[in-house]
Amino acid sequence: MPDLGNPRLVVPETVDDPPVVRLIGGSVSPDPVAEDDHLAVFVGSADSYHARRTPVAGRYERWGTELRFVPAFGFVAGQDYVVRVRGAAGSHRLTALRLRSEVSAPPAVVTAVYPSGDVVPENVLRFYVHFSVPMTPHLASQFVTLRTASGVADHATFMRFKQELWSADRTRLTVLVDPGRIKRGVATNLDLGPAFTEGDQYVLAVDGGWPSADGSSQLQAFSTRIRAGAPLREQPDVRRWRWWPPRPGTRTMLEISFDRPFDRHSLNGAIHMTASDGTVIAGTPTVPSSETSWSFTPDEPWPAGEVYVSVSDALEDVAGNSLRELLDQPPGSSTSSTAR
Amino acid sequence: MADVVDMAFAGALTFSDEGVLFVGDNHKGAIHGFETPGAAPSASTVPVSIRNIDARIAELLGVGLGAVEINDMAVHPVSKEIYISVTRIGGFASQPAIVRVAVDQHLSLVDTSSLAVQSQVLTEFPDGETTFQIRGSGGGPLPRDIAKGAVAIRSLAIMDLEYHDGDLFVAGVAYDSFRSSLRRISYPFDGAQSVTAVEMYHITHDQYESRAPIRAMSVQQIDGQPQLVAAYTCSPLVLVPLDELVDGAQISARTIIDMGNGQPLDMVPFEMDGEPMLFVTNNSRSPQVIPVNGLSGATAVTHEDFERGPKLDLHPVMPFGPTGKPVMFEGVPLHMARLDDEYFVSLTRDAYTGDLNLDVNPTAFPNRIHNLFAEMDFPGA
Repeated sequence: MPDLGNPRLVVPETVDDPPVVRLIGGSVSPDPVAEDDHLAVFVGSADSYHARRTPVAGRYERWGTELRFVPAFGFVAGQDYVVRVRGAAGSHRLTALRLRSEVSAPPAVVTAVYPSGDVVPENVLRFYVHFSVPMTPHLASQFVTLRTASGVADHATFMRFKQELWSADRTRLTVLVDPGRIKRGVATNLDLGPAFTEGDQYVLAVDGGWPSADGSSQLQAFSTRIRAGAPLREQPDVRRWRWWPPRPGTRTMLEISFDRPFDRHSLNGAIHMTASDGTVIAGTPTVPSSETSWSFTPDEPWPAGEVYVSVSDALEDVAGNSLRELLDQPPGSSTSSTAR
Repeated sequence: MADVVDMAFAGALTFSDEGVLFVGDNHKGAIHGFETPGAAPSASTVPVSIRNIDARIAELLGVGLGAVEINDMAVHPVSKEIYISVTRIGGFASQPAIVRVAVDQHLSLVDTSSLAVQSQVLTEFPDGETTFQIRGSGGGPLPRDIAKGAVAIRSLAIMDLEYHDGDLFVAGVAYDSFRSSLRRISYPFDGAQSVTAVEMYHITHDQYESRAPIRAMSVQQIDGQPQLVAAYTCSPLVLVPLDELVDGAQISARTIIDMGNGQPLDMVPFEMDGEPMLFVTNNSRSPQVIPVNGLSGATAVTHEDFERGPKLDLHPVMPFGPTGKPVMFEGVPLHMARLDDEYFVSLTRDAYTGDLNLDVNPTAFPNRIHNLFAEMDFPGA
């Protein structure tokens, strides 16, 4: 063998780099048969390399004292490769090659939990947990837990469904408090007591390690402190909502203060603004933190004359009471009654 | 005039007698004919045997094992090198590749850009959008049945290729009402091609079928004329005289055999004791060895020859016709070709390990005894 000196190896590092492996310097045998003996690329990590591996197909080019290997199909991002270079005395040097992908997937984190207020009524019905990336289903009951302030987990807080309640893109999980724990006088309520008791502190925890749907990331642990407040036993009352009329001709934000926290997703599309001629006023609604108010900025300046605020009677508060009916009737009362 | 078309998919393969490799391209709706030189091997070659050939091909193409799909296999008539068509999946794209296995078992990627090529674009080719209907068995469709609803019909547009006497025969689905068709294209490609719609009576299903395509075929001399012997899924064998393959014709193939439920994979002609035979492999039955001479004078049947109603595997009339004999074949022979007078070569899914192995099998039966432990395997027996 000729003396190869101390050649330098240059490998691509990202998907944007040309897919070429360069062995620079050192004298390379002119024998074309021996090219893949000087320089070859194999699938797999250096640990898994063995001499019977089939080298990646490609062509060799000579540029002076440089030998280049160009793979027939390029390299695949995220796939482990190992570059084998013949050193002195026939020994082989192995160098890892792994292309970084242009876009690395964002890590899995909890981005929001609703209700977002510090205080929830003790008869709260549902929580929404939002994730940064789609998550692996069928694991919610293992990872989502309610704990008391002293750290005792209550594994019977939430309903366990065969089919978990995910948004279509699997980034939003709906966690339902077992209605049997909420409804006064039914069996689980009597046996286990309510899940939340007014005045007590709780921790809603989403444990770390929950794999994202594509398996590329594991959830960072998340927890939020919650205090149970007075139960919501009455239907929402729009007469107790407060707002300050914006001036016509301006695009001032209208803010409506509610009489209680409302269900975050029930608020979507539940409130509309209409001008006196019946046309719907286009604009951007927002729901400030704690879901106890709703704001709206019109696309065009507010029209003169009366503006009507219409509210869907399907709108539910955080305890599941809608403008139509109460979720939980007092024990001993007759069948469900509707206030409107 | 031949078209110039870049290959987008390497599917069905066959060779001309002179070593032109024909490749079915289901994505472009074309057949590519590559002039593939090859020298006769020296006599002292060791029969090829490569375990985990799919892993070796994945290594060659620079991807993980799950990122290759093997589509077909053919043997160069002169060099006896084995050509395998592959789909390489990587970086959100699939690319065609043809891998050559030399007689010394060395694997290499065929540089098709360096080969002289002619392409023939196929008329009446199915679009890529239409997919199969969903069908279950027993208690309704399972998820694996529902997945069939995502398979494009175009994937069956080129099922098998057969070269005979200057003509290339192409079986598959043509666009018009998804009819089973036989194309006949003379080589060298001159732009002329004929498309013939093929209907046949299916004994097992007791109906006349015109959509499901021929899966495997071979041209044989039967009743004094060259005829196409063609195998369908679930699994009739039919005869089509070559002179009936006229452009625009709708023909009724002559049903002479029904082997029963299952899907034929390959039909490989060979000789046993000087007699021409067909070796017909299947994804769910033992391969069938069918004497070609038994097909001459065979009765072509219609629905009038049987009681009406489906005739599944356990029905007394099944299997029907001059079927020859089923033979032992250990594992699933996913792709099969004739290597030479002595050997078949197969890509076989091993029954015990699940490995996909390239190996040779004598053209005598039984021919795969390596996983059997019988009386004769004991010392002194």
